[in-house]
Amino acid sequence: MNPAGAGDRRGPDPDPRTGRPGEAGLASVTDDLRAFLAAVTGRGELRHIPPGTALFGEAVGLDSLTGTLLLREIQRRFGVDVAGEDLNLDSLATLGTLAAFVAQRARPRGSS
Amino acid sequence: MPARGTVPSGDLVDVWWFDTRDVTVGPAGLAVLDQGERDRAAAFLFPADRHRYQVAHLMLRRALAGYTGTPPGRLRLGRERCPHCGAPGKPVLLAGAGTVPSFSLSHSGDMVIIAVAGRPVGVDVERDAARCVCSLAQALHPADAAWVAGLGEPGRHEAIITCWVRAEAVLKCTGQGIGHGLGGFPVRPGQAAARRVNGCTVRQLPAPPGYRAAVALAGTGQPALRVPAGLPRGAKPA
Repeated sequence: MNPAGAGDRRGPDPDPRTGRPGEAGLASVTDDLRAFLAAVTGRGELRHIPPGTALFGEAVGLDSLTGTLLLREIQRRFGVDVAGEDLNLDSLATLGTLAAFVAQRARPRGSS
Repeated sequence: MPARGTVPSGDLVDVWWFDTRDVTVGPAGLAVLDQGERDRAAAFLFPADRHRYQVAHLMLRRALAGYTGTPPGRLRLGRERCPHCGAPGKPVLLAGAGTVPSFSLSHSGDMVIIAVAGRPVGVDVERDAARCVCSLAQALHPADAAWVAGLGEPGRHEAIITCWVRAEAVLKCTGQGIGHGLGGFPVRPGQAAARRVNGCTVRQLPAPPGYRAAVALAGTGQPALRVPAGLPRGAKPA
């Protein structure tokens, strides 16, 4: 079972000074989320959306099913339960807010 | 405007399909959308999404006009509050003269489906999964999740999408937001054609190849599909 088919990465590289995901980590998470989005929706054009793009509603057109698939994929790849940890789901506003949320909480490489 | 049709009574439900690729939307069509619909359409990033939204809402207005006699551009749509949390939810036709039909709209891929009934109705369509959707099983009711887990692929994927459209149709019928979860009740198909759940009766709909769809009607009567009178151009009955 490999819904997104975007490689088998465990999470972003942590910042060597803080042990937390740094800028490179955020960029890499953002790219991974673009790949997940393209995979769960079957729409390759989503590989190129800017970070400010709204996820639900008009811009990307995620619906309940594809949105759930996306969150399951994030949980599987990064160990982050977005729906469980962000009760207001504010992180789902845009690609950028979701990437920041995931990058901040993702398991460091090798911990899983 | 299509010919005037009567609002379905009893357990009757009118169901239409549209393939958004078959419908063109011109300036006259766009003019019937209200400001909120135009603002939403303008916000779409991709033209294909905008087109699907415009087709869905134009066709919905044309269909409802056929029941109410009110021109499509003069119908007023609002939102009911979610019975669970009070947030604005299910779109409804605001009261006008005569019997106000209940409706439900869903789209996926290139398909738009509209259901109209005399009491609360919910409809959902999803395109068959192009990829593995096994992770969705966790969102289903435990009994449904156990049922799909016992199936082999690719039948399991079809079963998951089948449960999904049935659960979502029920939630769209009751007006409870999908954000509260759709695993609170079992919906898997059984021996009977229709299943009573959550105050609704849900049944599978015939769907175009590559899609799955279900309809839920408030109450215990099995939804009976009626061929609608005066289909808008481009529409196909379920």
